[in-house]
Amino acid sequence: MKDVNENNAGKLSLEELEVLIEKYFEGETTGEEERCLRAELSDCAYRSSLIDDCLVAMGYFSVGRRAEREKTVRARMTLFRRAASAAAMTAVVLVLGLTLFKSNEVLVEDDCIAYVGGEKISDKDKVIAMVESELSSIGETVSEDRNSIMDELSGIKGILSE
Amino acid sequence: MKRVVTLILMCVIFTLTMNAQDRLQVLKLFGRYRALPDVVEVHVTGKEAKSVKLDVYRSLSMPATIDEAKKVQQVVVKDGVKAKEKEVEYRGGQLYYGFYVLSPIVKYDAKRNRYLFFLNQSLAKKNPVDRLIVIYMEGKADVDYIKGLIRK
Repeated sequence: MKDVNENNAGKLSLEELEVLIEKYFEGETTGEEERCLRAELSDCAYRSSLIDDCLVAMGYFSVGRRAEREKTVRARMTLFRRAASAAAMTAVVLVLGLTLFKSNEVLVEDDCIAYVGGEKISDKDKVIAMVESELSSIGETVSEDRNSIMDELSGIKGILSE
Repeated sequence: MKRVVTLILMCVIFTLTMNAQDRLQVLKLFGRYRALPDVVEVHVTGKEAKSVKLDVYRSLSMPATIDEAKKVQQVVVKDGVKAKEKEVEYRGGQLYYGFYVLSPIVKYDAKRNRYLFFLNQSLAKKNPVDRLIVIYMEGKADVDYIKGLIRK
């Protein structure tokens, strides 16, 4: 068995640990060996009925440490889940926001611009003149067309009356 | 965790569905062709638009014979299906004239009427011109006012 007084930092084997535990139960451990045993049990990967008995016998310290560790892990997991949910929600909001922004092309509320063959025109007067010209050209086309329909109808009317 | 993910997905689907119902395909046309030669795009909002009872005036005009014009016509017809009222005229299987009164939207707590106008001047009986125009208007103006604006 390792000399626990000289090698506190080292991990004991299951056999060494059980020897130490037996020594503990017989009341033959020194203070240093007991501290070493507590340290070993608080972070023990081995399982045996002797270890379990010792954990119980040593009481709150080891079991408490283990429970505390589990509690910490659970708390970390909860925190991680909350952080993941928050991140996912933020991502969804961002994606939706950007999608809506892009799709509707949110307009600047005081804008008056035109593009002619890719060239940007920001002169308000020129842009307004373009709008007026656009509307009047439509008006002309529609009214000329209406006149042409009226001409056709009057032509038909003339034929019918002959 | 599963509940949170389900809730997020439901929110996404609901939002996208609501948004899709109101989104006009024609709005995607603006900005797409502005760099092409002979394409004119106009965009007026704010004070200038308000002077004609509008909040948004956007127009796109291009030669009616280019390939993109067919796409524009298709998009207008597609959006026109959802219109509350419409006046349309087809010539030779092509849309010549379309005036669509679309369902209003609420923006900044105010109701805005929406109108879509389309004219393919190359199909005019008198003085045809190789020009196609699409106008999207949004504002408090009513139908008669808009018609007056177009025909003045």
